[in-house]
Amino acid sequence: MIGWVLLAFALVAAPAWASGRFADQPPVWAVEDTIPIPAPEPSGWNRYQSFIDQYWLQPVDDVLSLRSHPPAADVNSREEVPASSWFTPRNGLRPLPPEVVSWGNVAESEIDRSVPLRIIEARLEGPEPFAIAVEGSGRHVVLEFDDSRYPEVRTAAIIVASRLLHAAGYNVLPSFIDEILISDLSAEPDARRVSEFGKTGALDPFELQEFLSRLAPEGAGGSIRVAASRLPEGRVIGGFAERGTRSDDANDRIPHEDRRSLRGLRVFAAWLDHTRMRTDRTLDVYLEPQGFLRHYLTGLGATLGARMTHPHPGGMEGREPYVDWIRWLRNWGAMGFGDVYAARRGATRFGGVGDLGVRGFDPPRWRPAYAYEPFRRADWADAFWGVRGVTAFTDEQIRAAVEAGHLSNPAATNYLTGVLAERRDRIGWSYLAEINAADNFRVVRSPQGRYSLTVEDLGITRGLKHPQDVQYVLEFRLPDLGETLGLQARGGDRLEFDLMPFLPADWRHRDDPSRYGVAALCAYDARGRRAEGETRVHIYFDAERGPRIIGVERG
Amino acid sequence: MGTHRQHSPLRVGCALLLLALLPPIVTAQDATRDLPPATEPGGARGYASPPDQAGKDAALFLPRVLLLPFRIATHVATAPLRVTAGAISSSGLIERMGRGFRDDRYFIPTFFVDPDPGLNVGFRAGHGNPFHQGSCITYRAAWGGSEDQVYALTLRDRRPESVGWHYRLTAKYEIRSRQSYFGLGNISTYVYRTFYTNERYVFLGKLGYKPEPWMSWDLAVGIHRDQPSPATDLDPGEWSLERRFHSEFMAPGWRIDPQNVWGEIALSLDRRNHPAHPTEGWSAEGFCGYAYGTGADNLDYVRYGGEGHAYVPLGGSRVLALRLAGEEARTSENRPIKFTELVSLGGPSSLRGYVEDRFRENAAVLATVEYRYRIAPFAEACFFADFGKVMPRLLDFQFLAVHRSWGLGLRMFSDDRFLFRMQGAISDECWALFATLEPAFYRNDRRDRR
Repeated sequence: MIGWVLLAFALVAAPAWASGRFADQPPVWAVEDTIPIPAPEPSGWNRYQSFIDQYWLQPVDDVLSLRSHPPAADVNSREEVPASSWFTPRNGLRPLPPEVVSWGNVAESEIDRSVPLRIIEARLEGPEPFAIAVEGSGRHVVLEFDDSRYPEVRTAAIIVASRLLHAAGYNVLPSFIDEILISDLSAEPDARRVSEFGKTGALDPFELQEFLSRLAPEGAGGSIRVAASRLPEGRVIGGFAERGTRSDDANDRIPHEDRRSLRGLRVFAAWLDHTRMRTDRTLDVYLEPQGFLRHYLTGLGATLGARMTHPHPGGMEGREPYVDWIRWLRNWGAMGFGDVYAARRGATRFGGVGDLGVRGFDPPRWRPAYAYEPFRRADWADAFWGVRGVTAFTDEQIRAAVEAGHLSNPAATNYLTGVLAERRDRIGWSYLAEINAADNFRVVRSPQGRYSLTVEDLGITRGLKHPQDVQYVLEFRLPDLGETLGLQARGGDRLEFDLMPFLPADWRHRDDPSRYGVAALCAYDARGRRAEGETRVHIYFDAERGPRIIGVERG
Repeated sequence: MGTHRQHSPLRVGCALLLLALLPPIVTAQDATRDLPPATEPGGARGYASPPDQAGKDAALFLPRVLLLPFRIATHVATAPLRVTAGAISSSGLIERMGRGFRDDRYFIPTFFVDPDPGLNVGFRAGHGNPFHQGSCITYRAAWGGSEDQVYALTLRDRRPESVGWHYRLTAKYEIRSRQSYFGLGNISTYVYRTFYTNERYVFLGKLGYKPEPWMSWDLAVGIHRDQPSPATDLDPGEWSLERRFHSEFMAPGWRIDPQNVWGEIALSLDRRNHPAHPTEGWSAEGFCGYAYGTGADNLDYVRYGGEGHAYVPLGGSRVLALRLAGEEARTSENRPIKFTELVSLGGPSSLRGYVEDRFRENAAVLATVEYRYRIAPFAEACFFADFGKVMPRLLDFQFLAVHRSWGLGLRMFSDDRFLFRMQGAISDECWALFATLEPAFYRNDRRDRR
């Protein structure tokens, strides 16, 4: 009881995340987290311990420690994610040509068949079987297969999701579609079998052959379609944890749950219906000879509804969190009425596309199957970053990514392109209607010598909002003087705030500390409702060169 | 091997005091303080002076100290769970359990307590056949109460669900104490409950052919023998079978060591949309078998019957599951069939509010209505009503005095298999709670015959 009282007190007493003061320096656009380190030990991941931590220990500990979620840490002074071993801004900086999106990071789009592929590890059970084989060139390639009942669905999903995530900036394995003959595959004598739940053992050649023969469609001459992903040169050391950092990686200094690239991934995951994001769908690779870790997203075979090919009004594989105690109790009491679980529609009639649609897709309320900590911590600023990344994709780029999936039915290609474009738009207008979408801040000087702050609303820029539907109110603060100088409201096509009224006459000397000002922007919709979040633009008033933006905070 | 800097119980236990006195473990500013290219304080964020959190930390100092014991208690309480989870994961135990019975490599420990016969432990396991790669061997063993034992060994092909020919060979031996017998028919009074211990062995061979995924023909040949004997662990006031029924007229066959050779042919049609938790479709089975009496009892009889299940979607995740079953055993001269061979009702798979084998006769009719709805991605709640009646002949069935039981419970399943169910049921005689690995529509009294 005392704890709850104190908790309530603490929550009330806790102030909003305060504003900092930016250094007068250019933004950091690349983080040097590729310093050579000794090879880290492979990390173990235990799904049951993870389950206990995710659903019990960490949430309770967070509450009892009165720990608030800090804003994302892997950002620069413009609230952007600089290039690092985790993320490299690509389409966000400037639009990539569609052919670049289609090609992705693939250097060679064929498996080297100069010698038979030798399987060294395989998972033959469960909905996402795979095999790791050694090519003729000695490189390791991950082969992922389709469910024989739903050809092309899983392999296409892997390629399409991989292309889109790569274009957005994430590290993914270079993947491509290829066809191989069953007779070209053989198991190494010491090949390992990995079970659906990660247990390893010896690979039974009989089981392998039985599995492969089930995959080959009749009349295909023993040929099967695979999504092949080449592993980088180096050592695979397991997935990256969703919390904390690696103690044996000096480059890993930001807790993973505080990385915007992972928090904002929630929006991409909603777009691609990546419901199963978890540590076991990530990969840390110690690159050799460079000697540092690069962090990859893998296991994309469950995206784009590819795990939901079988129509079912209620199955385990869905779009709801696996564990939601309150909802369980509520559902039990509701006797099957009210908040029912979403029906699984199954693969589309075109073939090649899983249960992916637009109907019922509510992006802000989309929830993954697992409680992934970075997703749980995503705030509106992270969502804004993700929304901007998703809505940056053009229809042509999406089509290029979908075509890389080599779907045999053009109708399936058209359907998937259309659905992804529509989901993108739905993400845009649903999120941007709720959050402060101020973006692309600039200080401009008029011919008359007046300085003004121009702002763009991302929703208007993307064509998802009407200019008359949004209004911004600017409040100018002088943190050193503790003063608020005034208010300006702007709406419509031209979001330009005149800075001259805020310029004190005595700001003359370069060393004067009072030259630092913060323009705080709040957004309101046409009905006067305030959007979530305040955007603060930090402006340095240079006596010689005029005012300039030195930092942006979304808080 | 885990190298992630997580909140391990030991570390947290040592650091909790510090945690209470210090600001939150990692702030955005701490995390970026030394990112290489940004040489100024603030790292990549570019802060000259980060946001001041001192006021907030001061406000939270006292609450954090007061909540510290609760944090410690949370970690202490969770530590054994985490350690156990790690050990279980390393052993692959849960994984083998998760595979269920239809795979060829699994291990499922069973442990439960019920009032009668008490503590039950056991396991089910399976692995590939080292002499033939296309088949597998499964084991089952269980021990409960003071005497109960079950041992079963099965050799079968690996993919019984696929199209084509299939086979199964089973040997089973069991001793089950405190088996109930109430006499024949529907009118037996509950207070006449008697107990016996049954020793049984079964050898069963089955050859099946699946021309289509939804259709199968099965030919089963088996030998089984039941040896009822007086129960040895009766409490005062309870009666043994021998003491209550002096003659075999009311408990036919219990003294003459019933045993027979059983042959059966069955046709099964399965048009359900999912094998583990169907929500629409139907399935049906019809069978006819002949028992050839051996040993001291040379009574032959035929036994035939059918069973149909239908699943009616009611919208959303709601499903109405229906079952109708009828079965009859007959001899050519209307001679009494030994009571262990009779059709029975009662128990976790038929009339769930009655004790197992509560009603026995030559024929029985059973109907079930079950309303199921999803409450979680892997669980359904259900409300059910069972109706049933035994009779000398199926043609004698009348709607009068049908036995009824009601109940509710939970069904757990994975995406492709049924896992277990926990249910409670009540009837006009008693109530019963049970947790079982078998689905409700999988009748116990037919299990050893198919």
